[in-house]
Amino acid sequence: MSIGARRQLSILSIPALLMVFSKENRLADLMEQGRLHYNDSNTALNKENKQAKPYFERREPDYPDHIPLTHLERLGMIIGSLIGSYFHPERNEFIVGLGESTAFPFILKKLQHQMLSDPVGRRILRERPRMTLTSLDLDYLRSLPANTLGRTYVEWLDKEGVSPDTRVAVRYIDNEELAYVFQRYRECHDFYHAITGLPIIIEGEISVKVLEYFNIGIPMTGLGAAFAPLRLKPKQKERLYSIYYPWAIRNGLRSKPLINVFWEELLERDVDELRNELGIEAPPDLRELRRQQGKKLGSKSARKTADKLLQIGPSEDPYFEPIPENELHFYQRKGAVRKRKLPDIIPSSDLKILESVKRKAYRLDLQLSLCGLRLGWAGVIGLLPWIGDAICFCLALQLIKKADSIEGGLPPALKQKMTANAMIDFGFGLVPIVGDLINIIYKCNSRNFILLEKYLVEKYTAQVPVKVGTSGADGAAPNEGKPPLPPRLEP
Amino acid sequence: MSHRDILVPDCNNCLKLTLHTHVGGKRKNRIHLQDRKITTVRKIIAVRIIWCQLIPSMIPSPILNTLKRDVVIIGGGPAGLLLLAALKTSPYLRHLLCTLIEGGSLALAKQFGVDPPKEYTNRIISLTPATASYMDLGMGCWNHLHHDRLKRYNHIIAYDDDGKIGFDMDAYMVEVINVQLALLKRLAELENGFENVWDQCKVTEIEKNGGSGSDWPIVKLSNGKSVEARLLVGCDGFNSPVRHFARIQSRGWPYDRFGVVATIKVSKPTQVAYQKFLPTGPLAILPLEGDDATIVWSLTPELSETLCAAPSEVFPHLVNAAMKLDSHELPYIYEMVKNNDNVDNVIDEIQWRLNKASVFDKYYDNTVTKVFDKSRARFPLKMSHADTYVAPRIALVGDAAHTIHPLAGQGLNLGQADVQLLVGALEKASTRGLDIGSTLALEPYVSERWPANHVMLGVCDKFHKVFGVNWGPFNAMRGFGMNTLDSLGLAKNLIVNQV
Repeated sequence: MSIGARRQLSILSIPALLMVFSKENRLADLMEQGRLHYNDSNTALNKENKQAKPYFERREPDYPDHIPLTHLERLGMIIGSLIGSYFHPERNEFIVGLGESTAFPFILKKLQHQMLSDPVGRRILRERPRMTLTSLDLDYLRSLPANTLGRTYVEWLDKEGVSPDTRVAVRYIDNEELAYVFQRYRECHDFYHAITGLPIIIEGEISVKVLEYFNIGIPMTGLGAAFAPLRLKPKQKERLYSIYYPWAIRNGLRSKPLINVFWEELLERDVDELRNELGIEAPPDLRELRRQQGKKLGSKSARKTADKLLQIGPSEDPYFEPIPENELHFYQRKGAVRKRKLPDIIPSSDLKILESVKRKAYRLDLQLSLCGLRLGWAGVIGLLPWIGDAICFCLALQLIKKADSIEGGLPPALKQKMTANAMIDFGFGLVPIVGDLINIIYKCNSRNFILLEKYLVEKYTAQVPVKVGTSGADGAAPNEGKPPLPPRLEP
Repeated sequence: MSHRDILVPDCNNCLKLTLHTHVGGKRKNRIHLQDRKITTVRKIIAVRIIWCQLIPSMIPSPILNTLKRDVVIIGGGPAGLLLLAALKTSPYLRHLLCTLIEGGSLALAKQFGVDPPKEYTNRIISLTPATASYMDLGMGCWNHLHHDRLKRYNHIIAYDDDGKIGFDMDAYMVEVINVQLALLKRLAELENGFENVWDQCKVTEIEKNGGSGSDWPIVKLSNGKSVEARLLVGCDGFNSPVRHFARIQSRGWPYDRFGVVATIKVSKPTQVAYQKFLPTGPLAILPLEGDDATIVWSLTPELSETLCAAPSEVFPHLVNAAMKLDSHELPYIYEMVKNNDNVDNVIDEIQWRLNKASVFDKYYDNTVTKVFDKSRARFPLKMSHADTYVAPRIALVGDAAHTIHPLAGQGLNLGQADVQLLVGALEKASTRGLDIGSTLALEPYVSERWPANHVMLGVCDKFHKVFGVNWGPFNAMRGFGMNTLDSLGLAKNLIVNQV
């Protein structure tokens, strides 16, 4: 189609749309349905609903309180619960929503089959025990001998200051047997706490989640195990990763399937015997550990691997420096930044190159800002699927070439490092969307600039001649240390 | 004298012989034996030829009580009987002297015609429309079937846990003995038909004709007779002696599965055949007249033993469970049956699972109520295909040539198609004056049937292999494929027309 025809068509589309969605059309629809200008005096008496079928009808529920979700609704619930439970894990509704929406049928079916293959599990599915306050009579449990499961459970409840309030009923899982399986998992959660002794603080919950994931396999527990620790303090993270995660993984994998345990029948059993039978070992007391470690001074080892893993961007800001306090103007607060001057030692030719590399890197990595996120043109170009990443790679190589034009050229090791940076950036960029985000944070051009500056500073500090005094504070003659001049040729 | 030199009689009566010497393809010398110029050596050689080749063929064969027949059919199953009936029906072949030799007794089949048993026998097969129309229009034996024991069904539903396909196909369920009866009755109508069916004669030996000049195989029977055959057709099942005699290898493999057959009663009569694909193998429920049905269930050897030994109160519930429940739930129930749990416990467990949400029995909505105890039997399943179907004076038809997995119900139908084409090839040969036992006459049969049978065997084998995989993602893909194919009417029509 020619340009002119296309333009005409696009201009005509506006009135066309207006015509389709106009008032006349709506009235015509009503006329078709026989509802225009027509007040049936019998409609008030008509019991049947003669209105048009609603646009959206939910299918029949499988059990009371069931809300069958469409795929889009489920996806929305997953995304919403993920964001909500990450930022507000203390609010129950997000965890509940995440658990139910990510429990896909094939995972719950696997669990159901696990239960059906085991005689006790089969009995659980048949009898459908629910943990209510009648089935768990707390006074009776308190009267049990020490070290029984029931007594341990009640003691844990009292220690943590919680009550076995009935858990939220499952609503969003299709198929009523699978809904019961999930409900059973939810209600047994407190028993997992009791038998391991982990408290209800966030670290304890995460540890129980890890145990649950490796034993039962519910996706929500896996997501919690992977992402929940990211918001913790470094000391907490270290405690989790070094002690509780290995414990939970080891025990989750080797213990018997916890979903097949009929807890209500084992209340009078000895806890240690039960732990042996199930294959769970008790972890170190978390509250005790926190108390002890709180007394020690914060050690450098607290800043460990997890932190390092998450720091992707360059470790220092090469473009701005905080203004020292004596030079602050009245309108500048502490922490204000100004453009950093490049070091003086470097001779002017190399300084010019360094300056141009700095400007280039700044332009590519930091010149723009999007809702507080600083990115550069490389970030924007890199968003184009693969051509963009190729172009950014070429730009990065250009930068390296520019850096190479300093006096003496770049040493091969440094050039290798810079090229490696550019290649890592390219590699990340190949991953569609997440990779481009990583690119924006990684800022390979800034890194290369930092490397170049460090190298130049090193190179020229090494070359500054040692100032030797003429009278010689150290008593040395001016020519001492220099190689002897070659003998003069006799004319 | 080279091997190309031939001795040609000058005329039929006189003894003057002319020696044509061929050198390099061109006829060179014509030497008259009476010519004295011939050398002594050549004379001796010529005399040897006369004594060893010409004269012996003028003398009748030494075993004087061997009967000579044009076609000898070994095996009196549906394939053999159909072949004999077809030969006798065809105007070009009805002059041939034929004999059918059956080792067992056909009295049961004849008895079936007069006084059929009340319950169904457990060898029941399905006939495709092509076979049915050949039997009707080509053979004219359709009317001789017991029509009250013939069931016509028009829809097939094949499903597994993840997907289903439904086909519209007109087919018939009929007992094997019913087919045999119909063919025997037809033979009785035809001239020289029934008299040439010799039953209760076992084949003791098939040997090459040791006599000179003839290559007709000799079949020795248990009643002392011997028959020489211009064409020996083997319709004698998987361990065919004819195939062994012809030294034709049959290649294939056992499936490590047993097929359990039984006759059952269902709660409501239907015209739909159901087949559920379980990881161990397919379970097919094929409808019979009234509320009867027959099942064919492929199972591992241990499971087939367990199920054949299961009490007859439990068996119908097991079939229901297999058709309606998720296939993962069955191993627990099989274990219970194997451990001889109390029958009521087993039935209770199955009932509990069946009462779960109607999600489970979305495809099979009938219920099995009873099994006829004596009808339970099992047979091993294998795939096998002979290297070729013909050899000089030998032809193989039916199970002697190929064995197939029963999941598509094609076994008998392949045999009937074989017969159709063999008769066609023989008709063509006969109208052209060929020796019907020569490979030239038989070649069109094998060249048409061998690839077609091979494809069908291969397809059933691949079905067995594809549905034998039990891995989550693959199951989901397979189910998706089945559902997609179900919605493509054109593709389905193509498939049905092939079969």
